[in-house]
Amino acid sequence: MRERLVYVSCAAPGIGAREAYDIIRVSHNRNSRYGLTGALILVDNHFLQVLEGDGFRIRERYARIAADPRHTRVELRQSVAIQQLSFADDWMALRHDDEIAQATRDAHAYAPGFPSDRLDGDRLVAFAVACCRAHVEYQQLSV
Amino acid sequence: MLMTPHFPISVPVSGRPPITDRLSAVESFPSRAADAVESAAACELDSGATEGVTSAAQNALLRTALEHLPLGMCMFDGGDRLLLANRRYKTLWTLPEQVLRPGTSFAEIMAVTRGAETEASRTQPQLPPGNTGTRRREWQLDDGTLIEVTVTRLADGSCVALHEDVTAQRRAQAQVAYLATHDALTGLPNRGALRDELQSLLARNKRGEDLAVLCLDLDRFKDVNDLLGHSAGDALLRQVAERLRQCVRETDFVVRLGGDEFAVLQCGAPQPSSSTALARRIIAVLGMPFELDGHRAQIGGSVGIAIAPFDGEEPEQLLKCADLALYRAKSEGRGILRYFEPGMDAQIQARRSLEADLRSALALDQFYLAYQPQVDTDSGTVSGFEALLRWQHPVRGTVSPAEFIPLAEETGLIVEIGRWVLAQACRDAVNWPRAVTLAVNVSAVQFAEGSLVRDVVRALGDSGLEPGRLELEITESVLMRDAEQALLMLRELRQCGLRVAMDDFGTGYSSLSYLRSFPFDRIKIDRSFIRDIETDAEAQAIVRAVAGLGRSLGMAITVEGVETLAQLAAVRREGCRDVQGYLFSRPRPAADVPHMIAAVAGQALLVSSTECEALNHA
Repeated sequence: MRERLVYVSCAAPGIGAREAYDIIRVSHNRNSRYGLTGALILVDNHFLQVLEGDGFRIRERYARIAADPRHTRVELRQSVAIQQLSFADDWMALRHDDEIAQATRDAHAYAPGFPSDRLDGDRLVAFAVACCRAHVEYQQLSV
Repeated sequence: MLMTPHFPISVPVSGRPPITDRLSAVESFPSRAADAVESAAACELDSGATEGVTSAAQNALLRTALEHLPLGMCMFDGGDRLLLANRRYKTLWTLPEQVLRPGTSFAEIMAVTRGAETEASRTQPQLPPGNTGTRRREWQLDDGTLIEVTVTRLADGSCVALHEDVTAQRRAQAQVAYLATHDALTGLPNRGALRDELQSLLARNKRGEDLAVLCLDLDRFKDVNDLLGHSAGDALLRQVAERLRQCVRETDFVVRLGGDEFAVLQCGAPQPSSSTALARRIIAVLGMPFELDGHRAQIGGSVGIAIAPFDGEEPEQLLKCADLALYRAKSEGRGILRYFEPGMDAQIQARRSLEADLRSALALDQFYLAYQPQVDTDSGTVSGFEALLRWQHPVRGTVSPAEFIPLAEETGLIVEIGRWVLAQACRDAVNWPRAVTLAVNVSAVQFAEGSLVRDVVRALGDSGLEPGRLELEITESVLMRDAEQALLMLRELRQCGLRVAMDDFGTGYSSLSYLRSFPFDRIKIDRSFIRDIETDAEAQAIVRAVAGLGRSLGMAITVEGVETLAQLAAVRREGCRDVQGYLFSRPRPAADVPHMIAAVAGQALLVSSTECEALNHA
């Protein structure tokens, strides 16, 4: 059964873009091995992660993620069974604020800290998809 | 500061940088050729003086010498007026006859000179003005001809200049430089060029921007070479180079490291997101079919990535990290990318060393088989033995199958090892009582490789074991890989007369469709359900359900991992009569088989009586 899990959290003190690289490379390799797709976004000191794939794996990962001291105030925003993956082929991470265009922020009612009254699970997924898509398109355009 | 091609001149020439220092223009240096000319002339004059040769004759000799130089040569006085010039000088610059008359000013000659000083020459460091010495300049004519001018300023203010056509020489030098830094087959820069580029990027990268090094190699390059020949392999590498060029940005640097290995440097982009996107593009384009001499080849590629400054700030370190990540990518599948992680180095070293040992283990006779009895608890007898592979290494000791079996599968060594297991187990089993069966585990890799049916038939034939006594245990991963191919082989095996069991049922996907796709003879319930069967109602329910499923589908059920009498009683309550586990015996060498058969018979009586007691107490 394929599932999707979305959480947001606050980066622990001392965890910035540079420190996030360590989280990202390990997560990338592990998620790829487990066939999990999605995105991890660090913006304005907050993490947003979407994980899609095998439900057992996702829950196993989330249990570990929730206990990771590199972030605090972990809030689960969505955990659902899905028919269709929003992130088709891979897992991508953005760790610099300037990787997220103002236009994307505006279009998705982004606000720092991902306040739950503005950004529910589905909106967070749409925002993460848009961030990754904009990044990939930018990369392709500059080829 | 501009030096005119001929000599020093103090007159600004329109369209060219002015000469600001007349002396500087004249300053020159004794090139070897200039030295030779000077000393030759001096020699002539000296000998003339001593031997009474006339000055006209001396002049004629000097003229002959000058005219036979393979270089253009001319000389100006301290006032920049032409003193003499040879014919080669005129033809080299295609100068009109009249400007070569003695007394012509340097400015007049410049006025009819075409071309311009090359960029490299203009920017090279020169001796400070006022020094006597040699200066070298390079001039390019409109037709591309390159002329090297060597100007020597003498103490009296006059100067000598030599002019040489260096076009062919420079072209050869450029070609040598190109060949030294490029791969001849694909035209891509080579490993040396990558190192230089990386070095200069890292040195310039003062702001600490991220720089990604992607190492990649092709997944099935060897197959193309083996099946279609080396010229097809070369054509493939050229096409790969072209595809890589097309999926990178102009600022990215693509190189061929050698063989089927390539690398890309990516700078000026946010990381790791940009390298993730690039690697994905690369994997996608390499996954598209290649047309090679009318053949269509499906290749694919894997990518390993290292990022500076995280993984290092030296070219060699970064390349090594990217290469380790690539190694990891390849060992975990095909068409995937991996980022370097600290610790990978040690893990990979350990893995490489284990792999090397594993490769020689068969030849060195380090494997042996252990057998664990499968007990029919109704009759209290051993119904069969499961053969389990063991590796006894002289230094490592007993290596856990959990450690070496996955490695054997990844490396494909399992095919050869599996062949040995089949042969050895069948040889052992012919010595057992005829009612006792043999179960052998078979990996998905053995199915995919294709020789399994042949190996089984040979093992049975060589040993003389009746096919009906052999049961192959497979996991559902066999059916997950290529179900159609696997089912075909399973049916073939079944036709040979042997039986097939589904192993580790209950873990993984445990899809019932797998049970429907092939009439398995047996289902083996995974040990994880037995561990908690006394207390865990869910585990009990699953064991009960699978036992029911087996009865309905006509498949026997075996329960693994039974360690205690209580567990035995519980699984029997759920309707399972065939069990395996430490309660009866741990796996033991082939020589212990008769002993195990006898011991189980004794224990089974004990079990029955214990159960009776338990029932009486209830």
